[in-house]
Amino acid sequence: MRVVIFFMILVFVGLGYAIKDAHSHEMVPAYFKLTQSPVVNVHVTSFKLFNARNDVDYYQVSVYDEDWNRVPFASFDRVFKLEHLKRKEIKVYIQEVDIQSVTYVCTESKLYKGKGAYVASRICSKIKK
Amino acid sequence: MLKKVLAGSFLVSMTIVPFSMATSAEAPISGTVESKCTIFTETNGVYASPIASQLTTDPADGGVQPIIRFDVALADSFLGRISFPTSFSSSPSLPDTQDFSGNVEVETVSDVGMADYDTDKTTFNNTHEYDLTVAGTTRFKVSSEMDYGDTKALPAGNYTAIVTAECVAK
Repeated sequence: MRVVIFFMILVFVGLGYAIKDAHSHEMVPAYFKLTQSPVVNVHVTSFKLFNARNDVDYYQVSVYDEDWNRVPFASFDRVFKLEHLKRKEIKVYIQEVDIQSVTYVCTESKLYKGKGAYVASRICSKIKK
Repeated sequence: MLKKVLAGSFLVSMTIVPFSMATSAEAPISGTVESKCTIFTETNGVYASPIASQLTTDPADGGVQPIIRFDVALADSFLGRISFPTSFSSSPSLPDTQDFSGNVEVETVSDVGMADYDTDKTTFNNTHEYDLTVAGTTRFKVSSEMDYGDTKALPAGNYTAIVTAECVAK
């Protein structure tokens, strides 16, 4: 009986440690493709984001060319709320005139001033050519 | 008591096994591991003030170094960039000069192929760029130090500085 209780405690402690340890920012796919959107001369791509950071509630999307200059884009989720342990699909729309320059799409954590988050995370996917 | 636990476990297993056998053909479990990079913020840093004019994350002085973990699911596909702070994001008013310094180093690796990450890294300004050539987990530790004015005492208050961790597909 003591052995059973000991193992149960081990499992709960391990599970608790794993949950405490999960502070991650995850975005897929790492390589994206632009496809024609329902709107003429506008292309679209989508990403899935997972927020396992309990110190971050908001993320920002940005688009860059290969020299890290900003590229204009449209999205319903330019800056969006994503609660802890939630997933979200983001669509990014690019005009046809800009699709040759698009290279990176990034999501960046937004930190509250003075809340206690001291590491900003940014993940950038690259266009698949 | 132990007999009751064992008897209960036996009954549960007898119930579960036929159920799982019956459904296994109809509901297979499938999964895909996508090529991705995940950034884990394992430890937030803490500044200590060993002398009145200095803030440091050096554990020898009572500070805590931020630990950032990169999990890479596809080899040779990502760059990891970590920048130590060069200014405070929030602090009391500081009219004198602030001299920031810092470093980024590999803390632990999950594969021996990552052993040369520190020697192969590229450094520009306050950013350290690592070519993540091996799939697996790498932990980085960041150190930060700020010396204020000409050894002037720092005013009392809360000081916050931001470390930036970035994972970019190559």
